[in-house]
Order: sequence, then structure tokens, then C-alpha cells
Amino acid sequence: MAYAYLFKYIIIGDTGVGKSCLLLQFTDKRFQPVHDLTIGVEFGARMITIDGKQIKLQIWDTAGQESFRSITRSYYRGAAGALLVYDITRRDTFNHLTTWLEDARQHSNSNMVIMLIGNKSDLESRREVKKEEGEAFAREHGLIFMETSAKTASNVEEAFINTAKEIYEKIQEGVFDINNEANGIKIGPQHAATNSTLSGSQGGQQAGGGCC
Amino acid sequence: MTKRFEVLFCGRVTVAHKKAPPALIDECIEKFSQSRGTEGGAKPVSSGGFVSGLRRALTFPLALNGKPGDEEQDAVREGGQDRGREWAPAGERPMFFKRDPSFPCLEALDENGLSPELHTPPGDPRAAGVQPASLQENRTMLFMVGRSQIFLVSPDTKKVSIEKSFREISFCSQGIRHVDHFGFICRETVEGGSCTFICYVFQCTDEALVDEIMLTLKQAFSVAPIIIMNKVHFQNILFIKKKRVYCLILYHFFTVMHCLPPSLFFTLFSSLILSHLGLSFPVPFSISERGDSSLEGRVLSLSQGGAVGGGDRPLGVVPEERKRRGQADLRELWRKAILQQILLLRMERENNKIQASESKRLRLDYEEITPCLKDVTLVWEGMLGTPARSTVKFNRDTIHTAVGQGVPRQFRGEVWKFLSEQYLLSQTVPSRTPANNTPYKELLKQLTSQQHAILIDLGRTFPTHPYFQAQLGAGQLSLYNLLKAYSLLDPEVGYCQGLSFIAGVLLLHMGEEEAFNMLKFLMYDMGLRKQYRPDMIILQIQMYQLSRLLHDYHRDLYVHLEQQEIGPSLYAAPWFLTAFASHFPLGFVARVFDMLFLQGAEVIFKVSLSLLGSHKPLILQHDSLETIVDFIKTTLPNLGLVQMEKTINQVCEMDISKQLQAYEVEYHVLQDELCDMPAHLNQSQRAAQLERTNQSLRQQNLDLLEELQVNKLTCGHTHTHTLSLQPWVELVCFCRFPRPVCVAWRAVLKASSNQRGS
Repeated sequence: MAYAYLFKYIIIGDTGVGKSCLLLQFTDKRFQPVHDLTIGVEFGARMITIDGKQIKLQIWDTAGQESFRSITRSYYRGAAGALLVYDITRRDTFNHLTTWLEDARQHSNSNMVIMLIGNKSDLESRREVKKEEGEAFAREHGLIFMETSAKTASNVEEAFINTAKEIYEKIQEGVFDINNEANGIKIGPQHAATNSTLSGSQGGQQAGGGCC
Repeated sequence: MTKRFEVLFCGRVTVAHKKAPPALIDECIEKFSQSRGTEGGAKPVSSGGFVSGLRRALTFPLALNGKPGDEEQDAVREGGQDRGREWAPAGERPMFFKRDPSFPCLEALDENGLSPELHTPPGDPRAAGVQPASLQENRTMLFMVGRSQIFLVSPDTKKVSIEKSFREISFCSQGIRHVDHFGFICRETVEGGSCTFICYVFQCTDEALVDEIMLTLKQAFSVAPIIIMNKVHFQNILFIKKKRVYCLILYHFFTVMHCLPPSLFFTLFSSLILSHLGLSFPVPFSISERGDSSLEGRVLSLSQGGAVGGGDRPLGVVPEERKRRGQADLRELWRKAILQQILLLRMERENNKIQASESKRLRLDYEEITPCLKDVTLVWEGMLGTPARSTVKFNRDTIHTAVGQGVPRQFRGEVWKFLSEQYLLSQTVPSRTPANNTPYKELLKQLTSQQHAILIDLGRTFPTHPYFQAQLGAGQLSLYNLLKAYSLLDPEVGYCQGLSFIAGVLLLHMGEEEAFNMLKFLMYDMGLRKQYRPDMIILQIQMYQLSRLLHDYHRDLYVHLEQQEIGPSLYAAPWFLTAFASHFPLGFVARVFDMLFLQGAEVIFKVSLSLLGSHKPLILQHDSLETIVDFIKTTLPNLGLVQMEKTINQVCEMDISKQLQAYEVEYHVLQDELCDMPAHLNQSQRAAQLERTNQSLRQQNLDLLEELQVNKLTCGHTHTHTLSLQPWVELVCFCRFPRPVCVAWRAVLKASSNQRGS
């Protein structure tokens, strides 16, 4: 399908916080309480519209367990946006945010937009992390923040779309170098036609840096 | 969704008040160790001081109290003052069960939801105030905090051990010196309907877990409805099938009909039905006062025979009726009770048998892809039935042929054991066994630091398979036990995601302990273990090897995938980490496991390569990243029976061991060149880098040795092969020094690439 831009996202956070459920809710608009474990990396895509432009979101959903980081790290590099997810009913997932953030900052490009997400907001009765704490953490580290529920779909659209808006604004401001695919942004065929500096075919053929 | 934690039950203590100072937990622990004798007790793990301000002690307002307010704040109360409120007996079920102290309990769970191991032992009632849990028993439990209750489930017995509603709990605290302990006080009704307060004490792996439990409890209590009417029963855990019990009652009813006098038969029948429906019927329980020792002996041995009657059918006793009856009546009734017990025991046994066979049917309910012909089944039967099988070495070709022709589903677990025995027999060098030699049953008595990761994955492992579906049902609890035991056996790997699927497949084919031994075998002897190590370097090497194999065998596919930037880590990581179990049909997975037991971890490469190869035309049709990945992840696993069989047959004939070796070396060389030292580094930086390189090479050295051993054995002991391994032996010797190794590796690489070229 024709799109103006393609943004690559990565979803990170502790195991069991609901990363895969967020992705499924966003791409398929459904919630699956029992699902298979994410081993390695999963993948989803959806089209959205921002400022009248079709934007394709390509989302990489990663395994949360510590030992998988060496595998998932390689997916940071080509990402324009990251959703950093914790579970509001489990404080330890909030406590681990700092290490996740360090990891993300270290392995991604410096312009990557990071959205902090407190998931499972439907489980208010079991809340262990206050909304204010999430907000404070986001403020302190320059992230956007939102509480979502993959179960009720509350704020899920907004989380993905607001991140995209932020990236889009950065493109408008000229912060992102859209010609460098390592930034996680690709110009679509529809756009490329009007953009004489880029040939549309170039994007597809560029091979990655190998597997090591 | 209830929160679950693994805890170790330490014991229980009768306390005077519903509330207590937080030091109570420490006191309880000391009392336990005193009554066990000095050496057996739990030692305080924290050497830290008296940090009372940091510890949490929660006291809860009781049922009659309006709202949970100020009292549950983090507060350390001194002196154990009672708040002056009384327990409200209203709403409590009156207790009819009269327990004679000389009687062991007759059921798995009593009215208080306590299993036998938690009961007051007979004897001096004063000493019974402190009851440490037996150190010989498996005391680990899963502690679950629900919306209005807490549950403690024993993964060992697969039953609920303790079930308490929030309103029965009046106090909760973490230990002050024993920070990895916590406990709660709850009200319990004893003989005569009076209340006592019992403090239950538990231990966790570490302080952080206790913190989390306290936080969860605090949260749960602060939002729980004050009066809770609906009791949530954990049907799944008890897995009692009511209908089946009724059928069995009728069945036994007719079988005993012939040998009983009609009148007794009628009363027996009616009382059985009544008791099953939860109604009370008269049973004399004070046989000992009549001094009928022969009967008593029989009953004691009967009731020790096991959990009689299940937890949800309490026997009610109406004491008044007893008084009106004469000696003869009593004798008659007693006889009846014995018969009932015999009957119940038999029913229980039958029930277990039926459950076992049903569970086996459930677990093996998958479509076989290579249906095993009768004569092949006979060959298997012959081999499996050989006397002293584990010491007899069978012809390797016979085994290979038999596996290739199919493995009968019902023998599959046994066949895997047989293959592992044969492998161990063929070995000349003893395998690299785990340093920890603790038996399975002992491992299960310990706590694992991986409890959270394991518990959270139970519901995500084969979530749609009937055996694993039920929340903390038999399947999930067995899986928990197996993964926990492995995490304790192998602390370096601990629990890694993916392992649960391997363990799950094993559990579908054999019992827990056998599955544990087979898991150990696959991990340590068949070489699966290294890919789960925390750095996952081996997995990355495997991904590289697969992509190189793809390059060799299916160049066009390789190019196509590379164009879309699809590396194997995107689709093949679960193939390797779960041996295809997470995405593929079980019939196929079972065949992959057959091959795995026969040939080792290399099989995963072969299957991957064969699958990708046979689907090449279809993959080439897709030309975007999304559609290709979607095809490989969702369409490809649902391959038809014919395709599956073809894949397995191909795997039987493939040999890629040489390539795998070469590509592993290649990976290391590439890595080495990537991080080759830039010239501008100063002396100390160079030294540091050399040190790091040296260290990683040492690790590789160990891996190579391991590999060498495995390869030597799996590839047979032909002379040519020994020769081909020669450079490896030299490599291993060189590995202590980074520089010469690089040179040696490059030489090997060159040699191997020349070979490929020719």
C-alpha cells in the first residue's frame, strides 16, 4: 500500500507487562488474554493518518526477558520510536525502567522518540504505581507518558499515534535525517516520486549490516 | 488473574491475640528452630540491624469494622495490644467435626482448609502451640492473592493447602531480622466452636519478594469488599470430576451388593449418597474409649492410606445421637464406617486410575504424522522390552531405521528414554554432567529465584492445549515443578524463555521426574543448553550458521530475504529455543523430538533448512517484509501432513556437521576482525582489550571442547573424522593466546573455504 512515510517502532519493557497485547490491540483491535510467549522478536504493522498523510507503522515487539536483550538490541538501531512499557500493578517493572532507558539510549539513534507507557490501567484495584510517578519519571527523562489498557483498548491508539505525531513533527523541524534509513524512517514510494533527491528503488535494496 | 508467589511454609504458632507486634515473625522462627533442635532451623539471612522503621506490619480491621483505614498503614506496633474488638462468629459455619486426638485426620482438607501436614499433631496441647513444618516434606507452596482470599497451593500434592478469606486474616507482617520471612495471623475455629488465632510463617527467596507480597496484600486488603459472600473455589486444582465420582459410587454399590446384608447395605448406600451431598450422618469417632484395639489398628492403617474422600465432602458428626445408642449399635455403625472407608479408598484408587488414563489420553491427543505400522511397532516393543535394557547396546542402524519409520505415540516417552540410554552407552568419554547432583525430589523442596519468570510463563506455554490450559491445573503445576527444579540444578541458565515449551513436550509424554531426567539429557548431553546461556552468544552464532547454510543451499531465497532485511533471528529464534514447539503442530514437534534424541541439537538446523527449502517458491512469491514474515510465522507452521513427513525424511538424510563447524569458526573470525584493535589506543587500553579478548576466547575454548566431545560421539568414531577434527584440537590448544589463534583460525577458514569452492 502506498504511504508517505514508514516509521519503525520498537516495544520494550519487562516480561509480562503486556507488550504483545498492546501490539495486538493496535494492529488487530482485539485482546487475547491467553497468548503464546514472545520468543525473540515479533512484528506487526498498521497504517495511520497524520496531517492528511498516510504513515505506515512497522512495529517490532521484543521478548522482555533479560537474556534476550543481546538479540533485541540490534532492533533498536533502526527504530524511530520506542514504546517503553511497564505494568502499573507491578512495581518492579517500574523500577526497571532506568535500565531499559539506558539500554535504549545507548543502542539507538539519539533522536528516537520514547513513549513511556503504564499498561493495565483497567486493573485499578491492584495498582502499585501511581500515575503521578509515571508522569514524574517521564518528565525527568524527557519522555512522553500515557497510561493504557490493552484489555479495554483505552489510550492504545493514542499511544501509538502520539508517538508518530512527535516523530512527524521532528521530521518537519528537520531534526531527523530522513535520508538515513538507520533513523527508522523511510520515505514511501508515494512521497519519493515528488522528492527528486531520492530514488524510490534505493530504499528497498539496501541490505542490513548482516547478522552479527 | 491472581498474583502468585513461591513461598516455603515454615510452620504455625497459636497466638493469643489477633494482632501482634511485627517481632512476632522472628519469635515464631526462633520457636520453630528451638522445637526442631538447634541445627535444623532456618537461619537469619540478614546480618543487618534492627531496621524496624523499614519493615511493614499490616493489621487489618476485621469484618465488622467499617472501612479499612488508618490501621493498615505501615506501622510497627509494640506490645501486641488488642484493639478491643471481638471476632464475630456470625456468618460462620458451625463446626461439627469432632476430632479425637488419637485419630489422624481422614481427609485431605478439613473445614479450615488445612491439609493434613498442617494439623495439630496428637499429644500435649501446650507443645502443639508451636508447629514447625517437617523439614523432610516438600514445604514449598504457591501463595496466591485473589480478590477476597488467599490460597496456598502445594505444587507437590497439586492441592490447595490453605484457603483463607481476607476477613479471617487480622495481621500480616514481614520479619524484622528475618527479612526474607513473613507471616499472617488468622482466626481458626477449633473444637467446640471457639476461636483461636494462628500465625502462619513463610519464607521467600529474598527480601524483595517479601516486599512485593506485602505490597500486594496491602493493596488487596485496602480494596477488598468488606463482606465477602462468594467463595471462589479452585476447582481446577482439585480436578475432581463429580460425575465420575457418582458413577463410581454406583459401580461399587453394585459390586459390594452381593456381599452385604440388605439392611446394612441400604444404610451404607444412603449415607454414602448423603455424605457426598454434604449432609451429615452419624459416624462414631471415639472408638478408642471402647478399647477395641483390633478395629482401631485397621482404621488407622486405612486412614493413613491417603487422602480419603477429597476435600469438599466433610463428614459431619452429630454428637448427640451417639449418646442415645447402645454398645451394639455403635459396633454396627463402626463396622459401617469401616466399610465406607474401604469403599471410599477403593473409589479413590479407581478414580485415580481413570484420571491417570484420561490424562494420558488428553496429553497424547495429537495427530501422528508418520503413522507407525504394525511391524515397526513390534520392533519397538521388542527393543523397549529387552531385559536390562539400559545396559544392552543395540545396533545403531537398526535404531536409525526404526526412528525413521515412525515411533508409536503411546510408547514415545519410553522411546525417548531408550534413545537417551543408547546414546549414553555409545559414549566413551563421560558426558559433561551438571555440577549439582541433587535429586529431583530434593530440588523441589527448595525455593527458586526464578519463581516469578516461571510463574508468569505457565499460562503462556501451550495456552490452548487441554492439559496446560487450566490455571494452576495439574499440567501447569507439573510444568512449574520441572522448570523450577531445572533452574535450581543449573543456576547459570536458570530459567530462560523457550525452555517451558521443551519441558512441556516432555511432560506430555512422561511423568515429571522422567521428564526432568530427559530435560537434563537434552540440555547437557544433546547440546541444547548452551543456546540458553544468559549472553545468548551461541544463539547468535546459530543464527549466523543458519543464514550461511541458507546461502549455500538456497541462494535465491537467501538473497530474497536479505533484500527485505529479514535475518534468521526474526523468525528462527523460537525454532531453536523451543525446538519448533511454540508454533508447529504437536505431531510434527514430536517427530522433531524423535530426531533430537537420536541426532542432537543439529536437527534444528536441518529441520529449519528443510522447511525453508520446501517453502521456497511460496516465500519468493511474497515481496514485502510484512508478508514474508507473516508467511514464515503463521502459514508455514501449518504445513500439511505430507509436507511434514517429507521434511522429517529429508532431515534423516542430511549431514551438515562440517559446514556448521566451519561457519562457527567463521563467525568468530568475523567478530574478531570487527573488533580488531584500532592503532590509536594507548598501552593500558590495549592491555584491557587484550584481557577481554583473552577472556572471551577462554570461554570459547571451553565451548569448543564441549563441542568437540559431542561431535566426536555423534559422528561415530571413523578415522577420517578424527582427522577432520585435528585442526580443532590444535585450535583448542592455541586458544590461550589471542594472536596465534587468529592466525590459526584464518588458516582453518581459508582451508574450509577452499574446500567449499572445490
